[in-house]
Amino acid sequence: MGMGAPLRSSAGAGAHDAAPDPAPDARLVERVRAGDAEAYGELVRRHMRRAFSIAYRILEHREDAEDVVQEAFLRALERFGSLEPGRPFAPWMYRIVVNGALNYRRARSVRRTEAIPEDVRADGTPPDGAAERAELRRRLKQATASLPERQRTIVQLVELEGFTSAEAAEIMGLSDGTVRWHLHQARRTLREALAPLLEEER
Amino acid sequence: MNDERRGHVPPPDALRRALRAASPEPPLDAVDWDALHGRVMAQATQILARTTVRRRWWDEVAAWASRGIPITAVSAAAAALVLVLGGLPIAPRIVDHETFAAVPMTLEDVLAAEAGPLFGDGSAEDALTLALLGYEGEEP
Repeated sequence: MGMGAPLRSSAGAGAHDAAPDPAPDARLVERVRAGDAEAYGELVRRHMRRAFSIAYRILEHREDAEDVVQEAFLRALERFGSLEPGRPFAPWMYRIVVNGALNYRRARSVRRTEAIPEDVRADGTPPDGAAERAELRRRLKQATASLPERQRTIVQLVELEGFTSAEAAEIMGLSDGTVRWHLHQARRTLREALAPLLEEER
Repeated sequence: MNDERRGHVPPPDALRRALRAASPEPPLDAVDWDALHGRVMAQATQILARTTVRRRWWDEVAAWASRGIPITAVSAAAAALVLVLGGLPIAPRIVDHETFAAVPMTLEDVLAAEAGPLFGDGSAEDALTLALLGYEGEEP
């Protein structure tokens, strides 16, 4: 898989922060290699929002996502030597985040039976207009849960985070063709599962 | 797939919209970014110091290795060459070399050199004459 292209992000409607410009990243990476802690602090600051966003898509829990991001940045630093010279920092970093989030979710699924929904009020009632959304979300959860983990992650990166298939491929360590195939399969599964609801919505 | 053929399958944009509408947005405003950054950097500084020390040690070795390997290879090749040459018979080579170097440049020199020992302390001219006769196959 080619990891040469810098990650700029397609930044779709669901994407929050575009991946930072890779040129300053390269300079910061060189400084970190020389032991410059301040440079690593700058790298963390530049990428932590996007890293959090990716982790949150997978975990759907703020504190868990924060823990994963923190752990991922420390793990990245410990493995900094494995970042080949000239290779862009962002996809390498986001891959560590994705792997960390997936591992965290696997471990969490042992501890918890269900993720805690965050759009429920303190008194336990859903906010206005949330009933339909809750139904759609329930159906989507079922449908996405039925997807293989790899397809689910690709859907989260491409459809929700706004990465292109090529960018998702870099993050996942797969070829673009493989990501496209998984995306096609996942979309077909989701479309079939959600067709009735989406028809009503139109 | 059947739904797709019947035209009931929503287009990708509708699916994307539904996914985004149904998925909780990352609560970026709820995160204390400075605190998160601080937590990361509190441990990162220690890791960096540790790994930098390790890297410097390793870099030192690597730098020596990068210089040492070619030097060792050249030295080994030179030593092998010396050993190979040292095993060859040198004397015949020198003799050959001297023989070729000593090849007389003129016919007179050849004849004088060959005739000299035959006639002891005879004069050079006599020796030359006799040698010429001998050279031509005549009896002296």
